[in-house]
Amino acid sequence: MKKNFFVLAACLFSVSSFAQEKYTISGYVQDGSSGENLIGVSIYEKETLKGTSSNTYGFYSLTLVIGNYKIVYSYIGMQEQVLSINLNKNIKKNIKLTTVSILTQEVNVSAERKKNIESTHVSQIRLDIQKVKQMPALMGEVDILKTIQLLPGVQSGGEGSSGFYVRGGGPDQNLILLDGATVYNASHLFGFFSVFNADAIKDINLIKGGMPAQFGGRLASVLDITMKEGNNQKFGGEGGIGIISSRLTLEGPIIKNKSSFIISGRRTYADLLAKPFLSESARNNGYYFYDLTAKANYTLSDNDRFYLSGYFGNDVVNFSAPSGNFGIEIPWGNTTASARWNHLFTDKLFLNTSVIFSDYSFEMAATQQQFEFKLSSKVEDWNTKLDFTYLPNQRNNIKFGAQYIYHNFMPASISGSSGDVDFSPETVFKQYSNEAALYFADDYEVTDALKVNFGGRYTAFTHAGKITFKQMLKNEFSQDDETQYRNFEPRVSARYKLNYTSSVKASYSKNYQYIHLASIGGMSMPTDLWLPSSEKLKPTEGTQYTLGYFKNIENNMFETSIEAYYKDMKNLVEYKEGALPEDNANDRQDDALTLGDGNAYGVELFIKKALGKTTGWIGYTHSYTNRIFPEINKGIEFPAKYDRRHDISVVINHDLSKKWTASAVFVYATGSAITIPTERYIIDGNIYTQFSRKNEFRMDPYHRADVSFNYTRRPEKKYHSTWNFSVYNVYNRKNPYFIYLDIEDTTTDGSGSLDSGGLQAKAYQTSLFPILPSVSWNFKF
Amino acid sequence: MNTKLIYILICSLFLFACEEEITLEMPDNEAKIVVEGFIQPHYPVVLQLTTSKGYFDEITENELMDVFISDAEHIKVIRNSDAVEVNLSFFPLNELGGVYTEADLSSFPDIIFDSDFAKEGESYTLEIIYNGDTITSTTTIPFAESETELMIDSVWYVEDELFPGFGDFYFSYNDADTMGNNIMLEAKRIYHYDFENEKNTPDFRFTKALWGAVRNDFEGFNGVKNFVSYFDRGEDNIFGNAHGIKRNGDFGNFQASQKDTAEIWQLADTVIIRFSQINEASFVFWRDTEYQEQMNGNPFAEPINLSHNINGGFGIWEGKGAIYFKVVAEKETTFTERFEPATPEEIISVIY
Repeated sequence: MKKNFFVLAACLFSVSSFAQEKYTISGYVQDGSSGENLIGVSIYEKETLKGTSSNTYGFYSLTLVIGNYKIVYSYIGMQEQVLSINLNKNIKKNIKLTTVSILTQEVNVSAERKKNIESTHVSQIRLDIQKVKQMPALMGEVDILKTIQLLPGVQSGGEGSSGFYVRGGGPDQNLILLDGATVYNASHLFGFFSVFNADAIKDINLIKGGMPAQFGGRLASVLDITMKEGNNQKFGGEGGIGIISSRLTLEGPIIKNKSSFIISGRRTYADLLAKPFLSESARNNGYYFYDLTAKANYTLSDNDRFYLSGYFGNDVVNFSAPSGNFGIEIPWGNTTASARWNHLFTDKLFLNTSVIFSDYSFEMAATQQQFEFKLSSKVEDWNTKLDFTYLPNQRNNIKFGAQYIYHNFMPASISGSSGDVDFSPETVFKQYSNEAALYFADDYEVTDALKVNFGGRYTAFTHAGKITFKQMLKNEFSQDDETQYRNFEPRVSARYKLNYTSSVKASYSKNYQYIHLASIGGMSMPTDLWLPSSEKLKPTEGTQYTLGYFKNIENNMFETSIEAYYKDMKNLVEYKEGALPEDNANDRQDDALTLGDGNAYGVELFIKKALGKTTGWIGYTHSYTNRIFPEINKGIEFPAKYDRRHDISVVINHDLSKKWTASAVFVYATGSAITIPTERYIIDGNIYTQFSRKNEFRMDPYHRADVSFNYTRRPEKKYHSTWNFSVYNVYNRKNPYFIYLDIEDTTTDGSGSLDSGGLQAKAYQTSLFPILPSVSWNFKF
Repeated sequence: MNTKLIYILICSLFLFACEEEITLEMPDNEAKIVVEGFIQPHYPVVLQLTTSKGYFDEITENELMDVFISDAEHIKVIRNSDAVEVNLSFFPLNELGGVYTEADLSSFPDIIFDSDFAKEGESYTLEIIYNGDTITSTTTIPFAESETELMIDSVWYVEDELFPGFGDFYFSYNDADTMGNNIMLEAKRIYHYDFENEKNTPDFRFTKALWGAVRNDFEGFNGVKNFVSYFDRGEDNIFGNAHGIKRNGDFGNFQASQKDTAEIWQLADTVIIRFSQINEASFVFWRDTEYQEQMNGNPFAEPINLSHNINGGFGIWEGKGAIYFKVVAEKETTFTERFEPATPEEIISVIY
C-alpha cells in the first residue's frame, strides 16, 4: 500500500512538475531587406493570443509552458510570419520579416491593430515614418514635429512653427530624445523646421500621458525618436533636392550581416545660390542651416551589440552693413552623441547601457567700428543610463534601471571690447547640476481582462552652483549654492478589456522637472535659456490623470479612442513682466524669473485607419489651459497663450496607383490668446497704454488645408525617384501670425498731430504664408 | 537692443508675409480718471487729473485740452495719523490745463498753505469725488535721509568730450544700509538759453532722468557710500518745453529741436534737481513706465500694464522724501549746499 502510494505520488509529482515547466523563445526581429531592428513587432501564440512585443532594439522574449505552438510575428507593412515550434527547451530565434505592398495584401487582422485595445500604455502614438514622408510639407520639407502637431492633444506653436505643446504643457516640458540623447532646441530657422532629417529616422513614438517610469525629467511628453541603424545587407542611399534644402543619406554594411553605418546630411543653399549675384560687401550676408546625423553599429555576438550615433547641426545668420562698419554673426545649434551597448544576460534579461553627450549653444557676435560685443549661452549634459528589461514569464514585463545626468549651464555670458579696452567678465557664470533617477515598473497581466503597469521613479537633483565636477567629487562646494531635491514619482496605468474589441484605460502619473526654459515672447527663439532648479527656482511638479475608452471597429480596420485628461502643474517658470534676457547677464538669470501654477484639462477624440489604400486619421481636442502667477497679470488666472478651445486635424493618405499617392491635411484651431490695448492716458506728459487682462482676447481661428501628390518612377526597381508636388494652404487662408498696432494720420494733407488731431490707432494682422506650391525631387537606390 | 535685433532679423526672413487692417471687438470701457500726484514735506500737495480715452478712438483737435479735469466735485488729502485734512482746488497753468493744490495760488505772490501738513514718515490718503464716483489712494512719505548721513553729498557738472558746450551732472550718493531704498531723479531747467531763438526758455515742469526711478537695493549695492553716477536730462514730452519741441505725431515719441543735445545739459544751464526717496509702489509704477516705453511697437513683447495705486482709476499717488539742489552747469564747480525754497517763486518752482 505504502509502496503504491509513493509510486502514485511520484507519478503525480512528475506529472505536475512536467505541467509547470516553462521555456522561452527569444531573439531579434529585423527587416529582412536591410537588417534594421524592428520596434514594436507583435509576437504572440496563435491560439491563446498571449504574447509580447519587440523592444527598441528589436529584442523579444516569450515564455510559455512546454508544448507545441504556432508563434506569429506581425508588423504593419511586413508579411506576417508564423513559426511552428516545439517548445521543450529555450529557443533562440532571430526573425527577418519582408516588406509587403499594401495593394497586393488583403486587409489583415493582426495583433498590431489590437494594440490600441490591449496595451496598458495610454496616450501613446507611434507614427509610421513612410506615411510622414508622403504628407504635404511646408516648402517641401518633411517635418516630423509638424506631423506630431496633427495628433490630438498636441498643439502647434503657431504658423509654421515646429514647436509643440502637449496637453497644456509648455515647449520645455517635452523630452525630445534622439537615440536616447536629449535635444534641447529641436528647431531650425527660429522654429520653422525641425532638426530631424526624416531619411535617417526609423521610429517616432509620442507619449502624451501615463509616462512610463523609464522616462522622466519633463512634465508633458516624451518624443522618442530612433535613428535607423543602416542597411547591413547592401549599400544604398537616398536623398532629395527641394526649395529650401537638399539632403543625402548613405548607408551600407561595414561587415555584412554584422555591422552597418548610416550617415545623413542636409543643408540649405539659398545663400550659396544668391552669392554670385550679390555685391562684394553683401556676399557674406544671409542665413543657412545644416545638420548631420550618423550612426554605426556592430553585432559582436548573439548577446552583445554596440551602437554609436550622433547629431550635429547649426543655424547661422550673417549680416554685414555695406559700409563695413557693422556686422553680426549668430550661430546656434545642437550636438548629440550616444554610445550604447546591448547585452543579453539570459533570454529573459536584457540590458542596454548608454553613455550620452548633449549640447545646445547659442552665440551672437556683433562688431561696430572698433566696438565688439558677444553674447553666449550654452547647456551641456553628460548622461549615463542602465536600462534592464526582465521577462520572467508572459504575465510580467519588468523594466528597471538607473540614470545619471551631469548638467553644465552657461545661461548668459556677455563680453566685449572697444579698441584696446576689454570688458570680459572675470569669470564666466556657470552652473552645475546633478540629476539622478532609479526606476522600476512591471507590466503585469492580472487576468485576461485586467492588466496593470505599476511602478515609480525616484529622482534626485543637486544644484551645485558655481563649481566644477572635480570640486563636487571632493565635496568642495559652497553650502549657499547647493540645493538638493528628492522626489518620488509614482506611475500607474491599467487596462480593462470589456470585450474583444474594446477596453477602458486609466493612468496616474507624477513628474518633476528640474531644468526649465525661460522664453521671451511666444515663439521659439535661440535666445531661450535653459536654467537649473535652484533655491529660487523650485522644480516644476506635474500630476496627470487620464481615463479613456478604446475601441476597434470594422474588424480592427479602424482604431478609435476617446480620452479625457486633467493635469495640475506647480512651479512653472516665466519671465517677470518687462524682463529681458540681456538683463542680469553675467549674473543669476533666475532673478528675472517668477514662479506660478497651471492646470490643463480636456477631451481627445481619435479615429485612425492604418490599413488599406486609404489611411489616415481624424483628431479632435477640446481643452482648457490656464496659468496663475502672483507676479503676472496681478495674480489673476489667465489662459495660456497656446490655450486652444478646439483643435481639429484631418489627415488622409491615398494610394492612387502603383506610382501615384495623394495626401491631404486639414487643420483647424481656435485662435491664440492675446492681450490688446484698450485705453490710453497721459502720465508725466507721456502717453501710456492700458491693456486688457492677459490673454483675454483671441486672434481669428487658424485653419488651412494642404495637399500633396507623389509620383514614383519605377517603384519596383532598385533605383527609383519620386517627385513630390505640394501645395501648402490650398485656399490661401490669411491666418493670423501676430497683430500689431500703428498710429495713422487720417487727414488728407498729412497734417495730423496731437495738437491738431487727425491721428488714430489701427490694428493690423500679419499673416505669414499664403498659398505655397513646392516641388521636390527625391531618389533612392 | 540685442533681442530687438533678433526680432528684426526674423522679420526680414518673412518674405511671404502680408498684412491687413482688422477691427478688434473692444469691450465697452468707461473713461477712467487718471491721477498724477505727489506729496512732499514742507511744500504744497500737487495733483493733476486727466481722463483716459479708448485706444482706438480718433485723436481730435482738442484732445489734449479735453483730457484735463478741472471740475472734480471734491478733492482732499487726509493725514491718517490725526485725520487732519486739506482741500485741493484747481488752478490753471496754461491753455492745456492746470493743477489741483492746497496752496491758494490765486493770491500769488502770496501763497497760503500749511507747510507742516506734509511730514516724513506720515501716511496720507487722497480722496477724489468726480462725477459721483469716489477715487482713493494712500501713500507714505519716506524719510529722505537719516540725521547722521546725507543722501547726496555733492553735485557737479562735467563737460562731454564729444559735445563741447554740453555735458552731464554727476552726483555722489550714500545709500542707507536698510533694504528697500528707492530713489528718483528729476530736474528742471529754470534757465536755459536757446541760441536759435536767442532767449531764455526754461522748462515748464520737472522731467525724470533717462533712468528715472531706480532700485538701488540689489545685492552688492545696499549701504554703499560715495557712489558716483551721472544723469541725463530725460525726454521731452507732449507738453514740450518753452523753446518748442518738434513732435512727430507718434505717441510718446518726440524729437527735440536740438538733435542729440536735447537729453544732456548745456553750459550755463541753471537747474533745480530733486532727489527723492520713494516707496515701493512708486518705484514699481515708474519702472513699469520705462518698460512700456521699451516695449513700444514690439509685436513679440509681452505687454504690461502700469502698476497703478489708485482705487477706481489709473495713475500714481506718491510720497516723496525730497531734497533739492540748485546747480549751474559750469566747469570745475561742485555744489554741496541744499536748495530750500522759501520765496513764493521758489516754492512754485518745486511743486511742478
